[in-house]
Amino acid sequence: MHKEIGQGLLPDEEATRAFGQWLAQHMKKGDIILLYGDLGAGKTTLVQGLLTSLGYGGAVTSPTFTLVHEYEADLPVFHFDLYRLTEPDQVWDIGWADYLKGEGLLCVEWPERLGHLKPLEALSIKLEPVEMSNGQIGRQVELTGVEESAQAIVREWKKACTCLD
Amino acid sequence: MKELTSSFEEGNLILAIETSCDETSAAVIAEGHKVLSNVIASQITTHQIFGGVVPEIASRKHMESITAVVDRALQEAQCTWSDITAIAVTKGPGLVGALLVGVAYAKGVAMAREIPLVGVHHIEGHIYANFLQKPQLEFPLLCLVVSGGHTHLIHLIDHGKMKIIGSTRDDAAGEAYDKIARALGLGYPGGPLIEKIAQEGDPARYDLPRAWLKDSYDFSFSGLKSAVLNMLNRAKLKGEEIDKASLAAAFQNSVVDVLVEKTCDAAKELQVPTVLLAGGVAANNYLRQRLQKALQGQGQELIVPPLELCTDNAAMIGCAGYYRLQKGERAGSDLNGQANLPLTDS
Repeated sequence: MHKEIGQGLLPDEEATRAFGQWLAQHMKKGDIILLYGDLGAGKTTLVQGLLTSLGYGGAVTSPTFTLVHEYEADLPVFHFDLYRLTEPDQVWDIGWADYLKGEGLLCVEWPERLGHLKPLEALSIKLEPVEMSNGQIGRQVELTGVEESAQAIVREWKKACTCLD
Repeated sequence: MKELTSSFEEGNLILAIETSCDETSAAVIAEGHKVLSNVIASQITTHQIFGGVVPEIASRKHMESITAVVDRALQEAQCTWSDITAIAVTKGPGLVGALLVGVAYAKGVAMAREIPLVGVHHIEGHIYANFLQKPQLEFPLLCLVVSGGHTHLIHLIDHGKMKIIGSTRDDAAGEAYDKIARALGLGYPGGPLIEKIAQEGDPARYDLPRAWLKDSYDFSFSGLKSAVLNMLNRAKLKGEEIDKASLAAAFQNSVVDVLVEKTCDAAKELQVPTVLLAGGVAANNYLRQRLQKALQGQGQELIVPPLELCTDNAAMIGCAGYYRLQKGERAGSDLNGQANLPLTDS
């Protein structure tokens, strides 16, 4: 199956936030973003940027303990952190079926936990710390889309990156 | 449908229910403060009564165990349904599916038995864990609520009248502990493990940031988390050994320094004689000691709930519910679980 892949470098937290803001402008109801990356990779920071861009003014905190936070922004956002799940089927217990009805944008941290339940139409984003040439630690970002709608966003991202160059 | 407005009298016995997150809990509270029973499903060792299922995360699991947990709470309190004079239930915040199990159950029982029902905010419950021990506490008070999901400084003006004066802008304090424990390979839950290993470390060995967020009582722990993770990443890249105990100690110092200083500043500004600690992280000894000493130094007293009432439990919900019932508050059949319920006056 064809995959569209785009890569970039986010030098600092501000850049991660700005990337989140860019993403927000390209997402719509029913879209799903899967956020890959280890502890402290910037997953929650990215969602913070995204929500700011959607006009949400309140605090955006990590849902690690609570599993899911819901935000009533210009586009409703459901922010998941599935780290604490031990098997994919447990997502049904937190109402996954309802969240898949397309009433908002789903941002999912630790999507590995979904296993075989991972939605194919989702846009995957991987954040990874890298040491930059100046010795600072930045984030390598990789976007992957399999289905057409997600592929289109990856293409948009590549275009945006070229414009910046 | 009959409205749940019957009277709430002296000699009352409240059945309290809490299902906001992982734990299914039920308690029976006499006269608002006497804990006759406080059953927490995930901590029960005799799994047989739940058919071998230990509740976790799931609303489905709450549903499977709530009847057994409530029965057990009544049994331990040596009372029957006809003795119960009111129901208190957590209405939010939390997982909506999990909350609904408790709320639906509470509504059903209140209607069937025609007794008053009241909904309680989960954080208010944590605060009232302090009143279970010391009903005579006098307002105004300041409470530092620190748990896996929350970090707040709350000014308590009277029963049911409170104001959040500071909150975390990113990670909760307990969550920062869990994540650092994870990164250090210590296990879960992180709080007790970090506290233990930190005792053998030298906090001065590593220099970590503290987010003071000047002129605000807000907190931020994600910068500290990143600093520790970056340190671990760098060491790994360069093949250096990390002194885990010292890093844990330095991390704990950073968190506690900020919690203590902000709480002391707020206590001074608000001129409250007494400060309360609440939430799961209140079980952390290092935090208790540091905060107590600092407050003592400025002539203020720290009250801390007993360990078993720090983590999620129904007894604290019963106590908070008692004061709301006393003020005449009643929930109707339209009571609902609310995932993002804000903590406000009522």
